Amino acid sequence: MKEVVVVEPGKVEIREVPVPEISSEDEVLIQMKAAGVCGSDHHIYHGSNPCSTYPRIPGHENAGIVVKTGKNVTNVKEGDHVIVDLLSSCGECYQCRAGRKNVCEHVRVRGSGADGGWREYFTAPALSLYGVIRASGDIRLRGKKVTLRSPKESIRNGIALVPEERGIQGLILSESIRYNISLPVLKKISNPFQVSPKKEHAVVDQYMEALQIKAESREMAASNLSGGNQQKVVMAKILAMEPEIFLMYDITRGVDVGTKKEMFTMVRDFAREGRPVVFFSTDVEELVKVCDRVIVMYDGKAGADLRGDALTKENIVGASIGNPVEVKTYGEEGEQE
Amino acid sequence: MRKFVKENWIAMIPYVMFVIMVIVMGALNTNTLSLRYIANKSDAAFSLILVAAGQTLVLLTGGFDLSVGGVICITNCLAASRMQDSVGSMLLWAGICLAVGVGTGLFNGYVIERTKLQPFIVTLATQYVCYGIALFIMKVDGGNVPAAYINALLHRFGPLPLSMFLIVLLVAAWMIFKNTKPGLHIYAIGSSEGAARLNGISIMKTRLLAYGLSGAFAALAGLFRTAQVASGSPTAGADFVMISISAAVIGGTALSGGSGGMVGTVVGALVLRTIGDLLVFMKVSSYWSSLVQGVLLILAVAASSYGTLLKRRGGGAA
Repeated sequence: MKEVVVVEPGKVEIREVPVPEISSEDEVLIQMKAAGVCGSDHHIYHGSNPCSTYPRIPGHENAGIVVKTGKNVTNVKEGDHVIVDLLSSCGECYQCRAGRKNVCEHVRVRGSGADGGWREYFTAPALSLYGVIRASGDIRLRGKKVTLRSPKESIRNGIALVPEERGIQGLILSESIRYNISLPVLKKISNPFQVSPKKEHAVVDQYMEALQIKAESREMAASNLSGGNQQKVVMAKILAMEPEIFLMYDITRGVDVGTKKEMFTMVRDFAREGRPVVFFSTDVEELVKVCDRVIVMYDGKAGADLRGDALTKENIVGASIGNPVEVKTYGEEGEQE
Repeated sequence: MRKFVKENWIAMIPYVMFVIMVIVMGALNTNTLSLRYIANKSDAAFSLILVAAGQTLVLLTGGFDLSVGGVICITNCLAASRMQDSVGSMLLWAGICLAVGVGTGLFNGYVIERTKLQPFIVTLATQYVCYGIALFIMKVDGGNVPAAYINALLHRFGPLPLSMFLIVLLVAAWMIFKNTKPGLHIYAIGSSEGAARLNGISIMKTRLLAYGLSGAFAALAGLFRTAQVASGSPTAGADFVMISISAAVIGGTALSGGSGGMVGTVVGALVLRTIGDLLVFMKVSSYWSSLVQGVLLILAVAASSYGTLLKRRGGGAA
C-alpha cells in the first residue's frame, strides 16, 4: 500500500509499505476512503506547526471502512463505515481511566503528533471510532421491491406525502387554492394543448367541498388561509392525486382542534377503505387515537411494535426511552391484565 | 371590473404606461400613429422582444440568463459570414444558429441544476465563452448577408411588417403555453422549488426547458438582427443582455421568480425601444433616454415589490 509522508518540513514522499497488522485484540484495521486536507497540514508541510514532529503522515479528518477487527472489539464490525477520532489518547493515565480521553496527559493529534490517515490502510483502537449510521433495507410495494429516487417516482408509484413544513414544502403560499390543488395533477386536467379550466374547476371544487375548506373562493391566496385550512389544501392536493399510500408528517401541527378532529376522521376513513397511511407524529395521544399500529424508534432501531391492547400512551413513552414493552400480546382480548 | 382593477392594478402598470406613452406621442406628433411609424418600430423592437421573451422564461424560474448576448454574437457572426445566396444555405445556417442557441441554453440549465451554482455566474461564464467563440468566427465587424434573406425577414404584407405578425404569434403562443403543464411548472419552480419538487415536478427538465428556450429565442434574435443591420459583429449581443432583463422587469416579471409573463415583457421592450423617440418629440435631448430608462426600471421594481408586500400582508391593493 501507499502512504504519504512529510519527511521534514518542505519535503513530501510517497512510500510503498506493507499493509499494517492489528497489534492488539482491541484494534481495528481500517481501509481509508477519505481524508481531509486542512490548514494544519500546510503548517506541518511548512514546518510551522509547533506540535508536529517529523517524519509524519498527515491527515486528521479520516473516514474509512473497517476491514478487520481484533477479538475483543464489539462496537464496530467488518464493513462498517467509520470516522476516526482526531485525538489519540494513552488509555492509562488518570483522565483516560476516568473516561476523559480528550484531556489525556499524553493526548496526541492524529496527523501532527501521531501518524494520520493519508495512507491506504491504518490501525486504530476500536474505541476511537465512530460508526456512521447508514440507512439500509429496501422498500416493497405490494410485495414488489421498488427504488424511489425522487418525489416524482414515489408519486408515480401511488405514494403521496403530506410534508413537514406546509408553508414551504406543501404549498406555494403566494398562489391560489386552485393553483395549489391542480399543480400535481395538471396532466389529468389538461386538454391536448392546455389546462382545461372546466376540468380544473371541477377537481378543485370537488376536493374543496369534500374537505370543507373555508375560503371566499378558489382564487384566494393560500397565504390568507388559517393554518388548519392551509393543511386542508395540502390534503386536498394530495387526495386529488388519488394515491394508494399516504405518508403523513405531523399533519396536525399548528392546526385548530376542530380541524384536527376532521383530519383524524379522514385518516381513519382511508384506513377503512384499505388505503395504508404511514402517520408520523410527536403527539402521543394523537398516535393512540388514530393508529392501528405504532412503531417506536429508539437508538436507531425499531424499539417497539405496538398494536391492539399494547398500544397505550405508557408503552409509547416507555419505548421511546428504551423501556421494554409491558404488554406483549395484542388483539387477544381478555388475556392480559 | 372594479374588483379586478383593485386586485390587479400593479400588474396593469406597464400596459397603462404604454398606452399613456402612445397617447402622448400621438398628441405630440401625429405621424407616430401612422402605420409606417408603427411598422418601423415593430422591426426595431423585434430583436429585443425575442431576447426578452426568452429571458422572461428564465426569470420566471428564478434564474438569470446573461448568455443571451453571447448567443446573439455567435449567431449574428455565423449568419453574416457563412450564409450563401440560396434557400438551402439560408435554412441550413438558420438551423445551425438555432441549434447553437438551444445547445448553449441546455448547457446552462444542466450545469446550474447539477452543480447548484448561481445562474448569474454560470451564464456569465458561458457569455464570455460565447464572446470568445464569436471572435473566432469573425474578427471584425463586416460580413455579407444575402439580399433575399433580408427581404424575407423584413418583408411587408402591404403596410404591415412580418415582425408584427410574429409578435402577435408570440403572444398567442404564450397565452397557450402559460396554461400548459410545462408552462405552469416553470412558474412553480420559480415560486417554490421545494414545494414544486414534492409535487412531483422534475426540476431538471423544467430548467432545461426554460434555459433551452431562452437560448433559442436569443438565436432567433441574432438571426433577425442579421437581416436588420445586414452585417455581422462579434460584439453585437453585448447591448442586449441587461436591456432584456430590464424589458422583462418593466413588464412586471419579478426577479425573484414565479410571477410575471411574456405579454408584459413585449410591452416593456416596446417602451424601452420608443422612449428615445418620445423624448425627441418632447424636445428633450435623446441623451436623456438612458437616464429615463433607469428611472423606469427603478419604478417598475419598486411597484412589483410593493405589490408583493401587499399580497403578503394579506390585503388587496387599496
